[in-house]
Amino acid sequence: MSKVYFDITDLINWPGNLTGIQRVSFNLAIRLKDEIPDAQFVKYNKYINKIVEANLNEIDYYNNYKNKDDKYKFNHHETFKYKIIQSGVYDLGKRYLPLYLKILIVKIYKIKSFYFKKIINSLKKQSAKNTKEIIFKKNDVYLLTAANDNWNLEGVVAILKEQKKINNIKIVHIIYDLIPIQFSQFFGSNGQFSKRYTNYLFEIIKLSDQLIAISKSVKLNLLDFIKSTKLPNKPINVIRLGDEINPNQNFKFEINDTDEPFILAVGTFEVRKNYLLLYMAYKLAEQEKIKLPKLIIVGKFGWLVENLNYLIKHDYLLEDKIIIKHNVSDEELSQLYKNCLFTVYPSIYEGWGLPIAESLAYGKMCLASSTSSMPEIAGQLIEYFNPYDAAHLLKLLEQYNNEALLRKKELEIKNNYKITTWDKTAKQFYKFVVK
Amino acid sequence: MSNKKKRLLMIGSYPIVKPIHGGQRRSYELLKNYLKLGFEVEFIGAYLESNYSKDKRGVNDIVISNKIYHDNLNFMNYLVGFEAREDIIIPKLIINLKKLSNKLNNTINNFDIIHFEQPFMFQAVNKKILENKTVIFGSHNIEEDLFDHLLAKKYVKKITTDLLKFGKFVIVCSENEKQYYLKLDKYKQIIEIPNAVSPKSVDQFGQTKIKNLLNKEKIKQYLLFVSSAHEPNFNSFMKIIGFKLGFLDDEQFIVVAGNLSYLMKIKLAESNDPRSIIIENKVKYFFELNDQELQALIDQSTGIILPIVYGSGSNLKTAEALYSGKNIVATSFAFRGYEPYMKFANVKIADNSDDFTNYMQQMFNQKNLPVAYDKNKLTWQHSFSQNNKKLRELINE
Repeated sequence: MSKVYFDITDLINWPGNLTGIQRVSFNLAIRLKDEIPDAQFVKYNKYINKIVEANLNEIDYYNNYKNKDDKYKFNHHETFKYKIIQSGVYDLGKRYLPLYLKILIVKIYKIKSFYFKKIINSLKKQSAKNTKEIIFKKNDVYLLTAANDNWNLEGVVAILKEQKKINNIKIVHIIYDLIPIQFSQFFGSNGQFSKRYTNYLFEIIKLSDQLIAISKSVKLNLLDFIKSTKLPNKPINVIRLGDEINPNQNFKFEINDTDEPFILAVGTFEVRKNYLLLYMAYKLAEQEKIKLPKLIIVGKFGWLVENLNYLIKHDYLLEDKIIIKHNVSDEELSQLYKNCLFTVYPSIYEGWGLPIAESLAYGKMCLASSTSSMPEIAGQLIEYFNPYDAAHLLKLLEQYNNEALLRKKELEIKNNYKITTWDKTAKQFYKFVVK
Repeated sequence: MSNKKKRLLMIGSYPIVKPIHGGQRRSYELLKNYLKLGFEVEFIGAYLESNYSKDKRGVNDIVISNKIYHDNLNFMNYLVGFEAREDIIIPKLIINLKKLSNKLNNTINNFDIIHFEQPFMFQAVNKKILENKTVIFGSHNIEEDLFDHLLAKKYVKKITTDLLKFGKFVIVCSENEKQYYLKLDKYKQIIEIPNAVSPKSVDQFGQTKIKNLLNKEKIKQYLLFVSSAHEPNFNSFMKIIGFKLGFLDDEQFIVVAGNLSYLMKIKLAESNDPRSIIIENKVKYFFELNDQELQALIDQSTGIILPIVYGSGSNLKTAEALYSGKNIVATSFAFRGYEPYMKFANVKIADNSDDFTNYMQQMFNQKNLPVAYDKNKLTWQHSFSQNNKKLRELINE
């Protein structure tokens, strides 16, 4: 009988809090045994170039997660890095140490970590000998749910290619989006990342027996890509991602910036998320003397937004009107969702659009971009705008800055929006796997 | 009657010392044929110095320095009224550079017969000195069709018509061209000499070298595209094949041979479309090859592709593909002048991307289909033997 293998290499290597892809991968992984009891977790061991047995305990996030009473909570306040940053030591050093001392510290750190890595690598090589290699049998199933070695074709993909020839193993791969191919300009690096991703996708589609798309939009994009590259057609199934929120999040968090009403925008502070449109809408409001509530943008600092960051921070006419928060924990974010007037999501293109779903899960109205997968999430329940049209966005921001209208919309959301649990997503996914 | 050989001068826009691209090879074969007919023949090419290295230049050629060309480019474009190609600019430049103009006209004075390969260099010549000479118009294409700009089309048509008036007769490659010139002048004498092939000897050294290169690149099966570094050839490839290479398995590739390799490599490196990586991985380049190596590459290929939809390149590659006896997938544009061959089993014609790539895919699973035509009819020897009587008569008339 064929066996199902779930690759958790990416989760094992992932540091800290989970984002997009890893969140999906993790939620599917922890439900694997419920759905397919005899399935096996595996990882790619680069030191011996083999796929070996693995278990969930090797994932840092899982260890924090399983030790909590609340199974949805991972408190990153407990991480060493967070404590250092919060203690202010890092900031003080950055601000007051003379340059030569900073250089010296960095050099010592680099030298130390170089030798440290060497020792660690040799130890890992030794310990890898004790791991148990996976011996594939005919028609075994291999699940790839994350970014394998940052979309590299070496390593695990090369082994799977070989196993496909020898044992005809079945490969099921989740595809999150094709944005690096559609919008390579959003990824910098002179298109090198986009090329690597394109190459990965091209090869993985050939290799896979089934593709799982996270939205109908991604499925359509995949079909276009397959057609434009004359790849063989593969079955593509769509799953809906979970958007449940932790019902017990009573964590009290001081939100200093939210004494007054505010609009919330969530998502990595990077060029594709299109915060430039929000800036333009606020500038337009200022020009037309329209009073808008404060805007809080929450997202890790990303790429190709240095100029926008500067504009927002140095625009004295908008002073304190737009606030950007980069290091926000799950608990803080939860409070922000609960306390905001409504949310806005101006992203140019998405594979899914989790912040829209999260907003609705919190019962909050969302103004979202009308492209790609975003209208799939809530259909007519929310309002959409063209992500290149600041005037239209401003009109909606002004319209929804209205207590009565928001209450009415929130009631509609409460009555009509069905939250998708991760259990449901996992059931959908594993049903396709075993089919 | 004097026994003195008549002197014939051929004038073109390139050298023919080491002919590589189609135009050069056609000119070279015409020159050899004129010699065979008993004429004393010389060739003058006029071109930009950076286009051909010294070992490829003829002693009589007019070589324009890059500096002079670029210093005068804007003014020349202004004179012609549009952004023109080198083969239009260079003759205009020669008229304005007395030394070069005199060299050209004085050379022409020493010959009885002047053969213009393509109409462009006709611009540079003093028409008065042509009055008592036999002028032959050697055509490669319907040149005006190869320009997009309306003014350029008009300009090229004017040069073509001027030369047609002076020319005693026209030598064309295809029936299409013949009809075009007859439309311009229904009384004009026209000889159709299709592009053809010089059979190459099979060389064991070349075969082994190519075999080793293919092994090194892990190429088990491949479709061959031989082409020159002509931008429309690249654009044609992108339009007809582009990224549609997903049907190739790990050991199947497209091999591009000839100078197009350089152009493709540069163009793809400059491309912002990340799908260009697919071409970078599935297309292998064999840069400049000698005749034996090229023959070996043809012999070992699964088939030959001619994905050409526009451009001014000669369709000499078509003759070579047909002569090889390999399975061929081509556009109808690539088969201009070879229409009768389109019906044969080893030839598949497709003018859209989907059909073309479907045929390519089929080729990998097909054995070489039997060749039902006489390959000897594709040789230069045959091409000339059919026309030399008429050619001699027209020149001597």
